Amino acid sequence: MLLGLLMVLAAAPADANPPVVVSGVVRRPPAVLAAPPAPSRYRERGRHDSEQSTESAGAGCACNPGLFAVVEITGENLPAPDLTMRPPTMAQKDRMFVPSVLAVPVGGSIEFPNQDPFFHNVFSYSKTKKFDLGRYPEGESASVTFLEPGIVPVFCEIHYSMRAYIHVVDTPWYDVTAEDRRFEIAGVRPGEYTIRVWQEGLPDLVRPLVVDAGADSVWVEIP
Amino acid sequence: MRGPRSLLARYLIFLAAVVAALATGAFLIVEHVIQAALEDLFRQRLARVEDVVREYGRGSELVRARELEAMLGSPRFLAALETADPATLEHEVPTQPVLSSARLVVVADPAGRVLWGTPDWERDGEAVQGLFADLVAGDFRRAIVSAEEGPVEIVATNVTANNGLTIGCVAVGTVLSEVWAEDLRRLTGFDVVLTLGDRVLDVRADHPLTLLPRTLLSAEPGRIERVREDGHEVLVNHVTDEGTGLDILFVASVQDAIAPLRERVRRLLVFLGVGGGLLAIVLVYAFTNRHVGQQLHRLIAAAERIGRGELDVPVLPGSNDELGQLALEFDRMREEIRRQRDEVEVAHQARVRSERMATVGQMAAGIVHDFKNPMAVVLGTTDLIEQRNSDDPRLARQCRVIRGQVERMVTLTRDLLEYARGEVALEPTDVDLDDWTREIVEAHEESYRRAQLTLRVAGRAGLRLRIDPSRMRRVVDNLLNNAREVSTAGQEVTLGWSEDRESVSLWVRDQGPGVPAAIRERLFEPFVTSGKVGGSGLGLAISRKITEDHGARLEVRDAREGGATFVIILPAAARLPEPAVTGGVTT
Repeated sequence: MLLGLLMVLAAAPADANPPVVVSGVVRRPPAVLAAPPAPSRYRERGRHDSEQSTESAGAGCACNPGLFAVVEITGENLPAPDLTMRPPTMAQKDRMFVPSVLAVPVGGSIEFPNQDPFFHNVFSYSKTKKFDLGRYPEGESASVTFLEPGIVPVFCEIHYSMRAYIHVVDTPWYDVTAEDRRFEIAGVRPGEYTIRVWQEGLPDLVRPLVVDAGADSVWVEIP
Repeated sequence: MRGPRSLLARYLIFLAAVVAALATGAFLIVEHVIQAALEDLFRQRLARVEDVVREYGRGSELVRARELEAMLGSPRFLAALETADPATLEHEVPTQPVLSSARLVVVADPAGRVLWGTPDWERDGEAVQGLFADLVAGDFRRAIVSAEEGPVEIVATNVTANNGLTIGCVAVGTVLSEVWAEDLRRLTGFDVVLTLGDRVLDVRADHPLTLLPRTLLSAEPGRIERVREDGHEVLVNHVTDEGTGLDILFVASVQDAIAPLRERVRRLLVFLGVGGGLLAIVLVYAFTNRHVGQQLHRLIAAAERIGRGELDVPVLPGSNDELGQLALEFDRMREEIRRQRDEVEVAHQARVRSERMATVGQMAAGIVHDFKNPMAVVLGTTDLIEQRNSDDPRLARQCRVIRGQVERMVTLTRDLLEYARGEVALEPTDVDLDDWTREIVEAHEESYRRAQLTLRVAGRAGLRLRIDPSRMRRVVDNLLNNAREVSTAGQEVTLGWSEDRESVSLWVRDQGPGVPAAIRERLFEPFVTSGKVGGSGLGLAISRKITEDHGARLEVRDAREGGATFVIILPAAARLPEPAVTGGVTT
């Protein structure tokens, strides 16, 4: 695979090491996955026909976690993440997790408000964080704090098709790509780091990242 | 001693016996019919179980797969599988309803490497691994494994997360006999014995099977057989499922099935028997009472009346059947008894009378006989005195008085003698009533004229009788004398005759005071008079005797316009045929 790393060097102030904005785009396409299974997909043997499920509607939808990538910059002697900010939310809306991919630093929390007029039951069996929020109705919320870094697949016990990922990162510098697949990580101090890209169903991409002092911003293209 | 048993009671006993016999017969017939019908029904249904087994065998795999699929739709199970963590699987799998009852559950990663399995899964490990090998996404595979508990059906599939990622493989094994036995019993309604070779895997029966499975196994596959053991008998259809190799025995007990029916039929028959019996009792009672009882009671009452001597009430037939006939015969019998009684009565009275007369007569005859000679002497002497003193009218009148009184005495004694003499041979001749009565009337005319009475004759001319004219004349003379004596001047006395089909009547009717009821009965007995001066009291007695000698009766009746009517009723036989007077041939 062709890898290109462009480092755009901008004029940097000499007096200090002002933080740099690292932005870029993840061009790697989502994993080519089979259509999500329909709730009842059993067919008698020898009857594999074209009656494939049409529930692949998630392909271009915000509910499809495959469309999003988590980008994090890791390295030595990173500053502590700011845990005072308001915890991000992963809502349950229209039988979907919104957003379907979320990143949070170790020690951070996530709110899970229910915005559907029926019950949801958010849980995860992941090794990173095992939790089960139980059932609660519209308007109520619950919060989970993540203490270990890793991937946490999140499901709803009631709704078969709901799935989301929470990426617990051990760094203050991370972002989840937007729909245009771009990301932007501000406040990166100059230095040598590793940039890691996670996408559902695909192996992680790990690249070295050098942030030069004095640069205004760094543009990264992940092919 | 046995009292009289009512006819009704006999009827009821008879009816009860009939009802019982009918009920028993009906029960046996019904039971037989039910048994035959049930056996037919069972045979038909048993014949269909082969289709059921075939369909069930075909559907079994589908059912297993659907159960598995339902489990694979569980987010928790998917989440656990996605972790690929044996500890999580160990914790999560048993909570799945399908898996918890499965004999075998194996979870593998998408490559078929086993992550977790139920204990002893390795017994069937080879088969499971075979199913996992090259398992294509969305595919279900099935294998039948022979195990100790019988055939085990293992269904395997790969598991895809809802994003389409294949996250593992799952195999679930179910011991077929347990599921099949219960399902087939429910589907067919028959008791099911599941066997494999000689081994009995499972028995599902609504009630304990009375026959040993070993005996049942003797039924040949492919047809419905009747199997017996210790007096029990069942129908067995032995079906072999080719897919699993299971031998399935469907058992239908006609005897067991018929038991509740038998009970119901028995109850129904008892109900019908009791109800029908009561109805029959009511009907028989009504019928008997109406058609037999009432008539019998009437006959009994009539018999009691007859027994008491009340013979005048006729017994009327109440119906035109045998009982009516019986009543008619009964009435005829009553008539006959009455007739005989009357005859006896008449004979008895006649005997009493004649006995009394015999006594009186014998006594009187002696006296009268002794009277005759002196009176003849008195008469002769009086005649002599008269002849010798024919010029003395006074003496002549006195002589006439003497002669008259003596003649009365002669008459009296003659009457007495005649009455006392008893039975006299009649000398019947043919008598023309016209001539005969004319003579009589002429003889009485003088005396009637002197008494200023009218004597009339009334009767159809030409009637001829066969009677003893002189004796019968004494009767009529007597009646005319009596009538004259009880009549007063200006009254009328009629001598008449009339006839009807059965009799000819001669009668004398006066307009006198009539006969007092007190003496009417005794009027014809000797020495009874109705106050007549100078009567011997023998006239009517003699008259009756003469009429009775003629086979006739002498009766007294009240005349319509006062006075009395004495009637001589002669039998029709006394009437003679009349000579042809108009036309015809005179011979």
